[in-house]
Amino acid sequence: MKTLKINILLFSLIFSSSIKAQDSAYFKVMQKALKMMEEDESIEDRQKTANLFDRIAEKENEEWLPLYYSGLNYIYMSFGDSLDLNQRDAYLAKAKERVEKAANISEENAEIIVLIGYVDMARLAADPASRGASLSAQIMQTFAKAVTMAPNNPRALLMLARMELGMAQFFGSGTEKACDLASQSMEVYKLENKMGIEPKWGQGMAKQMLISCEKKDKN
Amino acid sequence: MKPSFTFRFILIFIFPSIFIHAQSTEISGLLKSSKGESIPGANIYLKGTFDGTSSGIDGEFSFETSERGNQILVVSVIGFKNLEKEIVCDGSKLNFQLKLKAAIDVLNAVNISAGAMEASDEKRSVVIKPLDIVTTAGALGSVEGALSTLPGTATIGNDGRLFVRGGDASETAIFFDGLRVGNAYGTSTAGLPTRSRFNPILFKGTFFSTGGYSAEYGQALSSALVLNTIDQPIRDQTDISLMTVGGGVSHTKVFKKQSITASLNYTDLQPYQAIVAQNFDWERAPNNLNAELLYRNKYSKHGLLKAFFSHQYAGLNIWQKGIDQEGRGSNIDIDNNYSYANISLKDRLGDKWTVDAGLAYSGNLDKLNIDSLQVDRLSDLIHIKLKTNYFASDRFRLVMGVEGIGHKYEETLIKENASRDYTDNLSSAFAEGDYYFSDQFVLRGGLRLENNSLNSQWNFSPRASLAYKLSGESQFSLAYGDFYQPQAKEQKIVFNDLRDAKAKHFIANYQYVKQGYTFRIEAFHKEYSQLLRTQNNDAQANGHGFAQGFDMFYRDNASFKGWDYWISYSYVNSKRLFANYNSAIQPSYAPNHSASIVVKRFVNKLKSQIGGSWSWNDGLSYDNPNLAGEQESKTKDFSNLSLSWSYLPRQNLIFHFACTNVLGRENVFGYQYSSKANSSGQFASAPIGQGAKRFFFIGMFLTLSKDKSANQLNNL
Repeated sequence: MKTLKINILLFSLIFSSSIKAQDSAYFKVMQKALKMMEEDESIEDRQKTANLFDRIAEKENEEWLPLYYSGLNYIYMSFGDSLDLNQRDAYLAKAKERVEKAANISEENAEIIVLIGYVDMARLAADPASRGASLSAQIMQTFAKAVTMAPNNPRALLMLARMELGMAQFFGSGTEKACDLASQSMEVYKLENKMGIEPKWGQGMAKQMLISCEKKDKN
Repeated sequence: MKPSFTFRFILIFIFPSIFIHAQSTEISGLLKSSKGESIPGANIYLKGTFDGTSSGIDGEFSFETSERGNQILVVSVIGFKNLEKEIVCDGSKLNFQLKLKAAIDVLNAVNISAGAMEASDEKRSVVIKPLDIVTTAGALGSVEGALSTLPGTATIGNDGRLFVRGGDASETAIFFDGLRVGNAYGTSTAGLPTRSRFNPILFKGTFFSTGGYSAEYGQALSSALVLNTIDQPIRDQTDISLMTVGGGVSHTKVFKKQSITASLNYTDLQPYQAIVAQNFDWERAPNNLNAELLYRNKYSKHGLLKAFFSHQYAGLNIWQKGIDQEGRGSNIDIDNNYSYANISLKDRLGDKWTVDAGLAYSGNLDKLNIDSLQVDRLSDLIHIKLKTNYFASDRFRLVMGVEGIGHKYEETLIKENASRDYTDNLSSAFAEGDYYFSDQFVLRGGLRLENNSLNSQWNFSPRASLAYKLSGESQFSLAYGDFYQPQAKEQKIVFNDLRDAKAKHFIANYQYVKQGYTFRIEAFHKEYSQLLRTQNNDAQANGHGFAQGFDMFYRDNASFKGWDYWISYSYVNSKRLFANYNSAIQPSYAPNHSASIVVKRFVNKLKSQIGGSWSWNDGLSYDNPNLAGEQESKTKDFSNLSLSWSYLPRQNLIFHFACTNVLGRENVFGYQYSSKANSSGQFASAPIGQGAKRFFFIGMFLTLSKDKSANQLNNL
């Protein structure tokens, strides 16, 4: 009887620790991938990182974060200087595929909705002359939805600010609303926890936008 | 004592894992395409593990794994099909030379461009964008007006409908979400231009074929115009418009998965015509009341139900003075009631099948009063259709479907209390397959089988096309097809069993598309047979004819910053033996040369979009009884320069100004002749001209929405 108890105890101990080990393996590999992402410069680097996130996503198919980051990497890749429109669109098609998969895993997630908008924003940036009219309203709507869902999400605020700025510049109207949103986002960025594997990108972008806002003020 | 359970447990579970960690397998190799090129940046990994790597510049890869036994090695990279390979990890070094097959990339692959012009935001090979349809000067917000600036079309100023490659307006069939629209244009009378019944804002994409189109579409000799409505409005909004010719209000409410839009529009040219002098003698200017309801339900991830209902009332009363007539001439009064309903459903069945089902009804009632003659014309059309797409692989796609069209036409003489009618039921089935041999080469073959109840005719229409990509930017495409169309209903009602008219198309197309530039040139030959001939009070389907020529299109929105322009030119040589002619003649709606230039520019400083368009043709043929022969004469050339200016003082407010025929040219569309020769043996003539020199339009469009960026640019 006694041995059986010990056996059960041992069994459950080993088993639970193995789950934990798996967990931390996921956490560790994610941290490794995120570190790679920080250091990436070339498209080739980013491709490697995206590949790693894809491998993680394949195994951890209940997690949205690996798909989310893979998608983000593909968005970054589409901005490469030497690319033509077809290549940009090919990267963005990959990005879209991943972000949509992430959205299937985690529904009504403001972070993912921001990324859905970001993919479209990159598609617009790839060919503004012919896509501006049809995409801009839709992107605006997507970011506005993200802000409504998560009013304190700095990325939602920042991306909405960027679209507002673009619209204001196009229509030649005031940039106050855009700049106000950007400084709101900066406030939240300052408080954001920089640990863990949750999304935390965009502070640099917000900083740059605020600098250009201040310049405008002085002029 | 036997070994304890604990010991056995350790033996089974813990020992092997120690063992595994002790010995790992190194997997390396080289990735090449089937053409022998190295593939960098590929993702190579063992399925279900984190173990893997990315291939280097030369396609080489290498990684270690602690996994044991049977594993699946996966290779995944942009532009190639995924490769999966079963391997055994046993601690020894594994090396693989892997060849990847190119995947067909739908975004960049060759596409069938012969005869096809698309307005879409998504696809690359488009000639125009949906927004162009509403921002083209001179089109005044009509789909056909904008499409008339494309190659292969002719502008017939006193008709307003679409004329494609020597064909008359009835040879272009109009489809709304894949379903046929009956009486797509408003009822009009000779010499009065009409326009299509639907607001272009309803459509997200337009597919316009000038020939050789898919087996999915039939019942049209020359052309198919396929209008696809928007899937889902994106926000709650209220639109208000106020124009010199009327006004409208529309409200959209968006729910989580559903949305509904209701609109009401009223136009009346009476006040406008009181201010601007008209050449025509109006008793009552055209007026139109239109109510629409649009419903969308995205009931599942891939399932979408669309419903659209509209009802229009239109009326006009005009005096038309024939050359032999006294006073104001004949009085023509038209009352038109038109209903259109369209319900369609789109869904996916598994990964490889999609299904489209739809039902549409068009009901048109004209009440005509021509002097003392009172006629009611009733035309009902029901179209039911079921279509499936089967995506067998990335190389092969099959479309199959069945449809039924029921058409009833009735004419009643009110005073005489006499009426006649006919009902024609068409059943058809179609199948069409696209096979991609590679990214560069696609072949399409289709068949359409139709049966008409009225003339018991079976129509068998083969369609075939191919496209070959010469480089990243240029491609070549060929198309062939047989097309059938029922004879005009005004004749069918008397001669029930008339055979359908037939056309054969041969098309060759070259297209060059680079970001910001599109160039296309297309040559065509169209053979008509079984055309309707009406002689000695008899009608027979034994006419014939041809139309051939070429057209060109060039669009550039990159060379001059902020500017966007396109140029179209079409040459058509057409002769037909048909109607009551005794010889093959050039139809009056088939000018030899047509051209148009459209220019647009957004000026940020003025917060304005400014546009201009110029349409020209070398004149329409007409019959002069003072000369020998038939249709032997030609009018002077037609020319129309139109300008438009949209001013956006705020993002949700637009003022739109437009003027057609700015130069005030007196265009002539033909001549009418006296039925009797005068004393010198000549028939007196009078030109058939425009209703007014110019048409001015001023409108204000306001959008109310929480989203301040919303505007009605799409509405102009």
